Amino acid sequence: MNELMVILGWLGVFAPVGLGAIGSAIGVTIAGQAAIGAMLETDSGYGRFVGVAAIPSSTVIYGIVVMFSLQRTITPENGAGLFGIGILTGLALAYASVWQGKACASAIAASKSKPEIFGLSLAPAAIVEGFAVFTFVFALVLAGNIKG
Amino acid sequence: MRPIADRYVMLMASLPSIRLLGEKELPINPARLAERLKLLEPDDRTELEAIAAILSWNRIDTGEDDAAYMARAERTLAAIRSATLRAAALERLEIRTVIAALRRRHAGEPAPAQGTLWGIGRQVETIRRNWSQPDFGLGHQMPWIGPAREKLESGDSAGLERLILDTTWRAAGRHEFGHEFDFEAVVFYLMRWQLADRWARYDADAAAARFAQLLEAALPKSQAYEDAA
Repeated sequence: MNELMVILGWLGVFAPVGLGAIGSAIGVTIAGQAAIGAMLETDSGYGRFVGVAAIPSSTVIYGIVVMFSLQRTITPENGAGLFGIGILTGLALAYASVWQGKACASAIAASKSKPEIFGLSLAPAAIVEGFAVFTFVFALVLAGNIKG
Repeated sequence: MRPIADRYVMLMASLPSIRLLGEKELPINPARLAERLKLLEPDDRTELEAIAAILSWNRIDTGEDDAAYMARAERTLAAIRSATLRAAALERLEIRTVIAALRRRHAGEPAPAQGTLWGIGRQVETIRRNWSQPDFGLGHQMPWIGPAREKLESGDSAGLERLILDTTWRAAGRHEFGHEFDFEAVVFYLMRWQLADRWARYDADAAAARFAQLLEAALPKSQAYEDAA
C-alpha cells in the first residue's frame, strides 16, 4: 500500500507537465492547421496567424511550474495529495489547451476575411486561458500545504 | 459528432466566408474550390458525391423517372453516416417537396393520389390530405409557405427564388451549429456556395422562360395548364 501511494505521488508530480504537454500539442496543432489554411487565402498577416496558433502552448509552461511546486520527497503520507492535485491540474490544463486550440482556429478563420475583428475574436481563447490560470494558481496555493 | 480532423481545420480555414445575397461574384471560384477539396478523405469524398447527386440540380438528370429519383434519394439518405447531414439533406428535400406541391397546385393539378410517389419527407401525406389549404396545414412549422405561395401566384419568380434560397440557407444554418472544422462543416460550406452561386447567376427572365419550358414538358396535356397559358 505504501509503495502504491509513492507511485501515485510520482504520477501526480509529473502529470501537470505530461498532460499539459499533450493538451498543448493538440491545441497548437489544431490552431496551427487553421493558420496554414488561412495563409492559403490571404496575402499578409502570416505572422499574426502563427502567433495565435502558439497560444495553447502556455498551459505546458503552467504545468512545468506546478511540477516544481509539487516536487519534494514523496512519502506514503503525501502521495495521495500530490496525486490529487497533480492529476486534476494536468487534466484541466490539457482540456483547456485543446479547446483553446479550437477557439484560436475559429479566431484565425474569422479574422482572415475580417481583420478588424482580430482582437475581439481572441476573447474566447483568452477566457479559456483564464480558466487555466485559475487551475495553475490554486494548484500552487494547495501544493504549499502538502507536507514533505 | 466525429473527432476533429486536422486536415478539415486547414481546409475550412482556407475557405473565404460566403454571403447569400452579397456580391454577384463568388469569393472563391469552382476551380479553386475543387483544388481545396482535394484535402477530403476518400470516404468523405464518396459521401459528398452521393449527397451532391441527390441535392445538386446540376447532377440530377431531369429525364430520370420521379420514382427512381426518390428511391435513389431514400437510399442515399439512409446511407449518410452523419445524423446532422442526414437531417439537413432531408430538410432540403422537404423544402423542394413543398415547393413542388405549390407549383403543381398553382398549375391546376389535383392532389396526388394516395400511394403515389411524388415527394420526399415527413410532410408528404399531410400535404396530400390538405391540398386545398393555402399552406397545406404546415404553416406553423414552415412559415415561409405563405409568402412563397403569394410570390408564386403573383408571378414574382425572382422573389420566390430568393425566398427559397433564403429558407434553404437558414435551414443549413440551423443544422451546422457546432460544426466548424469537420466534414459536416465542409458539406455545409459547399451547400452555401451552391446557393450563393445559384443566386449570383440568377437571371429572372431566363428563369421564367426555363420554368415555362419545364412546365410544358412535364404537363403537355394538362387542361389547367392550357387554360393558364
